[in-house]
Amino acid sequence: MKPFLSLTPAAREEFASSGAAPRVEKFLSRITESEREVGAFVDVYSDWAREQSAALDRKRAGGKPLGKLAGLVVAVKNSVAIRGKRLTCSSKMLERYVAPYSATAVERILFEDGIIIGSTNLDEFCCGSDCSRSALVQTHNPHDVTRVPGGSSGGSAAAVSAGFCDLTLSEDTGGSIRCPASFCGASGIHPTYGRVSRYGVADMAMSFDQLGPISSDVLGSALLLSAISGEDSADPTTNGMGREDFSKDLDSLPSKLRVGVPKQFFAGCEPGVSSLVWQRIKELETRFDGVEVSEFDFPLLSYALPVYYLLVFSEFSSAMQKYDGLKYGLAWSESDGRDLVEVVSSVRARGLGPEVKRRILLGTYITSKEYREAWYSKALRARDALVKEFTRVFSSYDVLLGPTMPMVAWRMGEKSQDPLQMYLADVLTVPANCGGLPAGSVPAGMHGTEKMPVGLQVIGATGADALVLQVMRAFERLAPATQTV
Amino acid sequence: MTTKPPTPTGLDEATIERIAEIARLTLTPEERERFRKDANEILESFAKINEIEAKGSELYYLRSGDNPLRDDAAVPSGDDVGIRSQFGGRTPEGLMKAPKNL
Repeated sequence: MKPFLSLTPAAREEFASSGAAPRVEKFLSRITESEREVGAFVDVYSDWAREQSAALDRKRAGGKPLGKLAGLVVAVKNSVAIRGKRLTCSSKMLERYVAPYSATAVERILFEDGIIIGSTNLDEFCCGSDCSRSALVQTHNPHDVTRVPGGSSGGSAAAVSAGFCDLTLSEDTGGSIRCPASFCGASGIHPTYGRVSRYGVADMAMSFDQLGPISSDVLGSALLLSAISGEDSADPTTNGMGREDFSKDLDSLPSKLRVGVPKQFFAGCEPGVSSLVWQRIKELETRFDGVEVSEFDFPLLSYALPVYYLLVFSEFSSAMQKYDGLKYGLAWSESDGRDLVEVVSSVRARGLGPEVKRRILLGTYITSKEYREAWYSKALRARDALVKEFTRVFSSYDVLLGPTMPMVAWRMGEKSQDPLQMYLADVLTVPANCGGLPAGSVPAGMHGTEKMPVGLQVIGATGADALVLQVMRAFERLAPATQTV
Repeated sequence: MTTKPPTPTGLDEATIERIAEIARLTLTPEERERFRKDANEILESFAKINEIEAKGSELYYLRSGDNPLRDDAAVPSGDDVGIRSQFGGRTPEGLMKAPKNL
């Protein structure tokens, strides 16, 4: 298939001239044409999308004020609740679960006149980096359908890259927005922890999970983040987070921008990825006034991966306890004389996939009384050390740059039998999650020999989401996104 | 910078059986063996964190400067019927049905 990006300025012009209905029909037509090859969606809401577009067109015709996302078509990762729609987390455990309420972020998208067209595929309960662990759908990379789209938000990035929607609402625990954005040639940002309400999100790891956008261009991400961010009484981690318009001043850069490039970000990278990312960083320095680039040593970064995974296993095993077949999950019919524990254990064994079970068991092990101090407590203290080091580093630099992923999208099935190799692929994205820092991925261009997209990662200090988006936009100006890749 | 206390890797059969019971997961013999191999490899790799001299606080939340908990006040829970209709085992009255516990 041919990848296609629906760029935000063109999308807004289209809506201004023809309204929402023709846009929705165009996307539905592309989905009909190519979804069989891509497999981006868990569910497509054709009828509801048409109803939303008709209502928006009536509002537009009536001269009423329109929201920030007016006319933009959005897909939502299927770990985020939409009232009355299936919320499967791409797991057999929740295959028939229907959300009784909507996530705050979904409510805000609808309030700002975004049109929701479908829910996108993911690795089961976000456990994966290539979307191969979905129990419901197999998603392919629109740039090369023999390759993975990245994960866990693989369906979201594939939907953007295949031209099935303008924007997606995704979720990033350890790189689940940035990895697939990088692999599929899209843009996306993991916002500062607490920037976006997690109310209505199926949690994976409470101290890491964060919602954010994947889009065809940086303006799309800025608009969606503006719409969904801000305080929400239902999620106290958002306390004190004001609402900002991240699309304002997107084309600006500070008069002086101190850029740090940690040497550790390039250790183990494919040479073609390293050279392309370095080329773009040097172009940033020469093409924009006031940009100063320094390479520096950040040894603690190499510990971020074990810190991240040990804490995620722990938090995940706790979060998954609720899927017991009683409150949530596969229904049980007859207990056949078995007691509660036996029935619950059997339902969980049937409903959950191998990677989910592996993480639950590892989390149970490292938080058990005997081993908690050696693993869980140590990882918590190591994260504290990492956070303090990030604070020190950001007193010298405004942003950190490097590749998003150390490689381009791998072939389907290449890593699915080796969990450790899959974890190691996250080595460049998890440091920002350990610090709760804003981090975005923007296309750097195509790999010279593999002919696949390469992503460049921009990490900022806590709260510096606007600056991260500005720097992403500067890179986009160096390597412009085009409608047909 | 480096301290290296012994790391408890090397999950054995008995430990796996116990954690599977705590985690409420029934595992087949093949799943147990696969988990033993993968988990030992993963934990051996992640024992790298023992190289860090981590004497700071145990950071549970990233926003440690303020209280992330909301007031313990009752509020309406929303769509009660919608929530109860999702119960895995339920009675015609919408109540949750559970197997015996004794």
